[in-house]
Amino acid sequence: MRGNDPQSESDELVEEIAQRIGALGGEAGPATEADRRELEALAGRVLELQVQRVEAYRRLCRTRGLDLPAAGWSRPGAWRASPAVPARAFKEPELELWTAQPRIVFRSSGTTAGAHRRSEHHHPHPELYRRIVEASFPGACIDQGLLCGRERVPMLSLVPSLHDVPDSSLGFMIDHVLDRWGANDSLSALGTGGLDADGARAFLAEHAKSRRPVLVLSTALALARLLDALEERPLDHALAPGSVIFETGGFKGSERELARDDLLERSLDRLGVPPSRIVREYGMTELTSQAYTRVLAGGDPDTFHAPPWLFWWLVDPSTGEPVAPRREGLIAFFDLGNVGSISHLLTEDVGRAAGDGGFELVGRASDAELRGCSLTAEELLR
Amino acid sequence: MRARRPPPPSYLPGACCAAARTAAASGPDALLETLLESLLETLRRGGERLRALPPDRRLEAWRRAVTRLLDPSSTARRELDAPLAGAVRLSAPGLQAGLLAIASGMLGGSADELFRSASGRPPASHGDPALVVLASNLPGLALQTVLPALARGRPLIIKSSALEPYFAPALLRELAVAEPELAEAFAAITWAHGAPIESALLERCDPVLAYGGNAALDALRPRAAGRFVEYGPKISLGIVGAPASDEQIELLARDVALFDQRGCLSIQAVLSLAPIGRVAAALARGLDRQAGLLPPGPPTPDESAAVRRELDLAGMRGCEVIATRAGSIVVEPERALLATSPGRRFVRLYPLASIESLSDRLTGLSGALQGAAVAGIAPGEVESRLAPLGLSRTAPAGRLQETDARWHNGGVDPLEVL
Repeated sequence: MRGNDPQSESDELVEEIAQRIGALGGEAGPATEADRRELEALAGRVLELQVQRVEAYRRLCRTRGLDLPAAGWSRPGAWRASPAVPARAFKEPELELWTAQPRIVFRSSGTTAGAHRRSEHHHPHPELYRRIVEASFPGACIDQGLLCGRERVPMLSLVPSLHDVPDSSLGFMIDHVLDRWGANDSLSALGTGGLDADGARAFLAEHAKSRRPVLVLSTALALARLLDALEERPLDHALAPGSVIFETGGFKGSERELARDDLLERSLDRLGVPPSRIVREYGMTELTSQAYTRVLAGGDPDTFHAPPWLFWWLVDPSTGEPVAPRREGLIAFFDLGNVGSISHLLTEDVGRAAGDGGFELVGRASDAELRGCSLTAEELLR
Repeated sequence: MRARRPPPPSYLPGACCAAARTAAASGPDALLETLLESLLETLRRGGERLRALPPDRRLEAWRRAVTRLLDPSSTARRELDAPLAGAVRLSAPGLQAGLLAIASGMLGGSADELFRSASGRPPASHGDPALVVLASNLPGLALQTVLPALARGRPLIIKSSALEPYFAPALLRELAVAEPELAEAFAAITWAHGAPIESALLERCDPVLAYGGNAALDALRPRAAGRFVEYGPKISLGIVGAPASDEQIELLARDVALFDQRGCLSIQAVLSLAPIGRVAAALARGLDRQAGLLPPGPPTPDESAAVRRELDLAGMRGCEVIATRAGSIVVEPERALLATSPGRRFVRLYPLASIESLSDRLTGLSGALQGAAVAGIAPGEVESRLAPLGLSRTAPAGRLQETDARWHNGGVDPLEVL
């Protein structure tokens, strides 16, 4: 580490990352070679900071026989050999996975493991989080067809706000999106009282009638519920061309399973929004950055693209090594946005590489296969 | 032309056999209905013949059939071995040891005792078939229900898991060979979850006995019209007393290794009053020995990933970890929340301050505790403290999974429910 004051050095690094991400801007496409080198250098410094400040991470390095002094990790490329922390570590807050005093705690919804065993991301840098949203969201979700020459977009949010769910990272993100790009008449129609289907319908009907494109921000489950409501009371007009649906989250752990094809079909049928205007987001409580599909730019609707500061690759579940080409594997990330916690994460999502630098989601790793009547961790926590 | 996949093995009595097999997979509704009625009627008749058969002949048929299936040189077993070992992913010695552990105890005096107990009970309220939905984690699970059904004179439809459709039909075929009067009392078939036959049988059969994880049980429970008896997910533990010898502790490894730790009586964690370092070392030696006697079956990628993940998390917590090809031991802090194992012979070891603190230590497991293997401590000491948590079996180290016909899995009396 440079300089003498550890706190100001850390702040300096966070600021450098924020500036670098800001400079890359909304173009979440491939970074130039120079950008990439700079981001790699930042990754090394982030790792050095995390090894220095997170005792649990140092212990993991030792367990893996990677007991370098902290500074050793900042050597060019060294971060690639660093151990990825299982995302499940965020369910053990006693591990204290943060490099600076946390200012906000995000918790997962607990849909799969019960409310008492949710992931917790103690986040010291909410400003950096907002900067990342600003740098990546508009490039993926807002285009001229949606803006129609204006600066702000009427938005219908089906994501509970931070006011209702103070520890939701998705709520934090969507609140910022509404603040930053939402028109004055935007509406949040999902709160502690559930879905305000009448309000949502009225909002959509009004904008459909005035032919002004809207952005619907939703989880897949909330979108399905909205579509159910619109089946009972359909809109008179389809939404204006240019309208976009931002969809995240899937149906994990919910009481209903809905095929994605059905959701797409009903979005077209009930709202008039074609699959080419439905942007999917891949995000998780444990990450600060998000990946998106690039459908607004003509990209494949199932391929997620990570911004340049969110490195990803696939890990062979059998060996823990990177997968052979064209094989599926667990998705691992190195997120510069996680400078305040743990950047190198191993998820339990299974993915495969797409041809154009993105990844597709295939499913989730499961402990449950063939356990039958033997208790698994997830069942113990129910 | 693409070759059609053969249907999974089944055992269906009487004339409905071939047609029902087709219908169960994909037949039109009307055909399925007809064939189901035919199957149920056949089993009702088979049940009458079963009840008319003297108990000693039923028991004799049982012993002959099971003995043949336990004999690795028998034709039945030679045909069964490869697909069954592949389905449950056990090594050949692991499969044989697992089958012996489940079945041996059901051949001896406990089977006689079960029949005596059955004869002293009032007859079942009706002779309609019961439906048994099996899980796939253990080979030979069907044995646990067929023996009490024989004793009680109750016909059964056994739904094997699609992942392990082999053992139950093989058992029923051997029973029919051993005693032709039993040929129409039982059926074993399989189907994909949610197939039309599933709802039809859940509506018609009473009781339904279902083994499996919570997700599987949740999917079945609301559709059962009659009694729904659950054999849901459970955990078992090893308890080590201060005077336990190293040899006793090493034997706990057998309760870990058998069935590659996939049974509800497989030990997932050990709580110890003895010095933890000594227990860890002895358990590691035991696992090493078991790896020679019962080599592990092939892991799935998910299992490998889960073990690596749990070892990483243990390393992050600063736990002592012993990880070898024979298995893994993680020494957890004394106050740590009891956690399950990811399988593959992975054991969590917890220091225990006193035997008095045992039940407090396990309160989170209420209703989910199945068995305890004990070393260096009287079984009664453990039973009295853990019975309120649902404990259904206590045994000396190394013998926990060797159940017999008297065991009430999950506290459920099989004669009572049948």
